[in-house]
Amino acid sequence: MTDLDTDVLISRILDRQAEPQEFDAFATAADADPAAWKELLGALRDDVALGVATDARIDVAAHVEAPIIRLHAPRMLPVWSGWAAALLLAVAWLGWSGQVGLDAGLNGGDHLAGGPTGATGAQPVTAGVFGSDGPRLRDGAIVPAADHVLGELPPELISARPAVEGEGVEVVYVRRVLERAHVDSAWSIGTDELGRPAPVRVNLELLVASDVH
Amino acid sequence: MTGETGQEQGPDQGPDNPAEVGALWREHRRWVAAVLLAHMPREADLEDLLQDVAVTVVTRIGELRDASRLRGWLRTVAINTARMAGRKMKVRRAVLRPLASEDNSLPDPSARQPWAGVAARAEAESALALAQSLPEEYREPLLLRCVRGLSQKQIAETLGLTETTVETRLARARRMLRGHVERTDTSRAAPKLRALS
Repeated sequence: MTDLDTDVLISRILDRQAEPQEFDAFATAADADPAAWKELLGALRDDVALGVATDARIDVAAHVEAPIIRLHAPRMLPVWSGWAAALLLAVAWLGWSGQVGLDAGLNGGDHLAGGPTGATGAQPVTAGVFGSDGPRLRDGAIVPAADHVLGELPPELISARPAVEGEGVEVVYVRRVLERAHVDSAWSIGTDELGRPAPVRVNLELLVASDVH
Repeated sequence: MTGETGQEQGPDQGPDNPAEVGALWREHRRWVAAVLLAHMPREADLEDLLQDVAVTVVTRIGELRDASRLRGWLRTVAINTARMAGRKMKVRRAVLRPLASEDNSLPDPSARQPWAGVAARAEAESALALAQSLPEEYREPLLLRCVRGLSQKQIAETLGLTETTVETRLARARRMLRGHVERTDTSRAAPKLRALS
């Protein structure tokens, strides 16, 4: 019997997995080499000690419950967020269309209100990832071509609650569409001297350098 | 699949409402804690990490398409959480090193264990510390084996291994642990012997 055989046998005895003939085999081996009894005793002692310590540590799990996430997305966002989101989309579109000057994009309220398709005549395209009965981007939004949609990431659950009527559960979730686009400039929302949200130009080189993928 | 309560989950679909997710979490949280224990940095707080895992489970359980892979998925979430804690600890250690003279010692977890005397507690804590120092592929099955009610088959399923492989790893892990314990005992005894001579 090799050392590994003996170790496996001892391990099976400790785990209450050993068959009667394995107990006999161990007894025979221990008769030939009494040190095997010492090994069994040592392994049993370690097992008890480790079991006690591990059990005591993981008992803490009994106090950890799965959180119930009750997020109300609209309330989580600042009051100006809707306006800022619209601005961001519009500015982003202005950046890649190349047909409207930067200053006009930032200062011309008509452009923002009119939306990208109205301003340039670009054809609205529905993102390919959305099914016929799923949500749609209003006015074709700013997706310039369907092949710029690379795919869809798993949806992110915001909240879930039992449906008010009937069976099932009402969920609020975010659909995440993976897109690719060519842009001439990029902007983020910062704040002006009065603390109001304002577009801030992002250095494209820094943007590329910060890409970790 | 059978959790700590021994109840069976649905075979095909993952849970799709908060009550089911809560029940699922309660079934599996003990062995998830053992996985965290096998991978987390020693100074991390197990309860905090469990909370992180629970949040991830609640928010991302929808990504699990095949309920038969639940154990593997939960293990991956736990390992990622433990590793992230490890990275944070590394940064924290680098930042706090200049403040090392302050008393930042952590409370002794064994002090919360009312089950035995001081010597037995010390022996148990020492065994756990030595088990945590074993190579990853050995310490994880060894700690999972300590979870009450978790069968060898379930351990194999969790680790994505065959039962035979788990059995062999357990045997080797116990052999390594024994060796560590004997060396530790010898090194502790040596100063006493020197003092007596």
